[in-house]
Amino acid sequence: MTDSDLKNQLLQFEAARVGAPLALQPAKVTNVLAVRDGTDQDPTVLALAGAFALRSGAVVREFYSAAADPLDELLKVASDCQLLVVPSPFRRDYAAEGQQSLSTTVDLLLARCPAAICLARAPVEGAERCVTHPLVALQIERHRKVEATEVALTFAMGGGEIMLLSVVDPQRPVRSEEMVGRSLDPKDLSPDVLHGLATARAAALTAALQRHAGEWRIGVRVQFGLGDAVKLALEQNAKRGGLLVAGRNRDATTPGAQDARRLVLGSRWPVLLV
Amino acid sequence: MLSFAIPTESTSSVPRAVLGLVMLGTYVLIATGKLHKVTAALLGAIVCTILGLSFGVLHNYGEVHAVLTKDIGVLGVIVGTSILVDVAGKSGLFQFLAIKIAKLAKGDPARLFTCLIALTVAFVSVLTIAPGTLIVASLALVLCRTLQLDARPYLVGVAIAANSGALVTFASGICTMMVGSAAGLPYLHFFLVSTPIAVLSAAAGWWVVRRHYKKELHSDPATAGERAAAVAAFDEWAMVPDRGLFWRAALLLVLTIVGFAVAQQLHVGLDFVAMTGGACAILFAGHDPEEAIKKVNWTVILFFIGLFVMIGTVEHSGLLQSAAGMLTDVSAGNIYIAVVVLVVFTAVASGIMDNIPVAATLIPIVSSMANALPAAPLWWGLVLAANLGGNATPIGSISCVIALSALQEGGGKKVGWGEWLRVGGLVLALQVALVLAWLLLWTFFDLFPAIPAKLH
Repeated sequence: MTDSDLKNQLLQFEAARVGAPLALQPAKVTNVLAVRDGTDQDPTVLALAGAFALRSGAVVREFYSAAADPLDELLKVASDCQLLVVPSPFRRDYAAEGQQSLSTTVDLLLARCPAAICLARAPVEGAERCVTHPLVALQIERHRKVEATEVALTFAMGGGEIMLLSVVDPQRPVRSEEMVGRSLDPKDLSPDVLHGLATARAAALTAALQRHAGEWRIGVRVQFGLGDAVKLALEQNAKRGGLLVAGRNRDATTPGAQDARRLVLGSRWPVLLV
Repeated sequence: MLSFAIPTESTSSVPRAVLGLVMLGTYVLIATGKLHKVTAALLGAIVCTILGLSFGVLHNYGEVHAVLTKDIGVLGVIVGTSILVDVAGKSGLFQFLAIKIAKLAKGDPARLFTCLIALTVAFVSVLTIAPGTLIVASLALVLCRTLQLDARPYLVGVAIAANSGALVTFASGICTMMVGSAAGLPYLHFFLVSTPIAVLSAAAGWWVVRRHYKKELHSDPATAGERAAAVAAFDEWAMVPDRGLFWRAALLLVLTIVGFAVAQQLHVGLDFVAMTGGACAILFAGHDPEEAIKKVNWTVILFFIGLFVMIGTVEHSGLLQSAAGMLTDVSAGNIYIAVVVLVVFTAVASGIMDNIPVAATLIPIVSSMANALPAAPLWWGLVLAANLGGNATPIGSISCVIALSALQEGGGKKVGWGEWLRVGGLVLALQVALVLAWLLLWTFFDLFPAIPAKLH
């Protein structure tokens, strides 16, 4: 038994003080739009859209346009959809440019479309398994973590497994209000305390998911880490081979939007931005 | 299993005296903290082995291995349970239960105190003393911060109750395992003989601490609603990182306890059950096996190895048998006097220094005494007194060290020797009286279940 064990245990119990329980509910998804671009990513887009629809009971519609700039048409068609499945890069070769660009269409779609967007990447074998095993990267646009988890829950319900990844990046400043609010000393940024902060950041969601896990028939795992949120999410998901889910900020200049962009570029698995 | 054979030949007084002095010197180093206890024990073992071979007390080096072979069972139980307990700890199972039970008190200081004492006894009985105390002491501290309560009564209460929890089953405490193994006490006998005294001694501790800290445990009815809301803000489900692991850990623990209970009928040792539980925990935990293996209590194991070699060599010299003979003479062959002397001596010695070397040294002595006196009251006396003796001082047991360092580190408060002796001293006096009454009653009415022959 070391001082570190004691500190960790104290921090774990501190993290359990979540206040009022979070009323987490599966998101309502009734219309899924599969956006084809005529490249070899189309089968992946269709398979993922089919899997999403199967899990949520939604209706799948296909969109294909030969127009030079299909964005306006696409936004119009997507107006009554809660989820779009779009290849990224759009109309470009994923194998050649997938790690360099999301494509202009996708960038504009992320900025303008209010619906959740799943960016298809490399071909996925077993699309249903992929969408039922989402990994939610809570610290990527963390203000949207509840919404991101609710969408992930929609597809994992009935036999899937959600992994929540909560991290603290020691390279980024931690707001002292966040520390004080969780009974942590803002001057103590030791790994034990940062790990405790990562636990606290996921505590309310963990509690809400675990409490209803039986009723929703889902497995829930929570993973904590110290380091770059994007890198850790990619590493963890590489072992897992599931859908990556994260929050989205429509303002591309924000750090959250840039993290989301890095996440998509680095992932061979589909990324759902909520 | 642990056993100490009586040597067929005794050596001259010089080797006995020298080896006895080395053992005593080692214990002084351990008690004063001049050397880390593992370093002191290993050093003692090396010196005793060299002297033992030089004096001819050990006929050949193979006898050192023979000493360790006898104790492999205890080491197996410690390794297996350490892994299992680590996996169970990571599953959040005990943290979940701890919050759930603490919430029952609705923030009332006195009720919370009672809940934490009960929780400590229950957790230590399953998890062993260090991890059990760590969980409850941490929760107590966090709740005290939240409710703005003085943490001293809670932490002192947890430290004292943990020593009672170590008596509940064979696998609840290191000393309990050592003595239980040496004597061949079956797992189920603990529920008959030591579980009731564990509950009674915990109740005695609860009463004394509650009485001593009456003012601190007083609740103001005006703030009851506020306190209840503050405690309700804790969500036990936030402590569960993996629901699958949560249930697997619970199942494994239950199966291991059942395994301990039926080990004798299955003709296997408790170490086999513990190692099977540990191996299954690694297999089904879903974590990195290296992490679980690192959590094995290597300090205790190395400490044991050193102690066993040292004591085994001293035993070969016949010194411990002489001590046993003296104790039997002092009691004039009367089991009642022998029990009183043994219990009082063990309790005091365990309060002054780590109870593991005390128990390890007394095991061969009791084993020898059992040749002339009824064995069961002596073995049970040793189990009970070695565990409860830790309540005498703030450094008498690992639970006291954990709870008091938690109080200082996390709560910024100290319990000095004077304060501890006023509370712990009274608790120990009451507990020793209870233990003696219990043992003498069982001896008088010949109630002790017969100890079966050990597995070899």
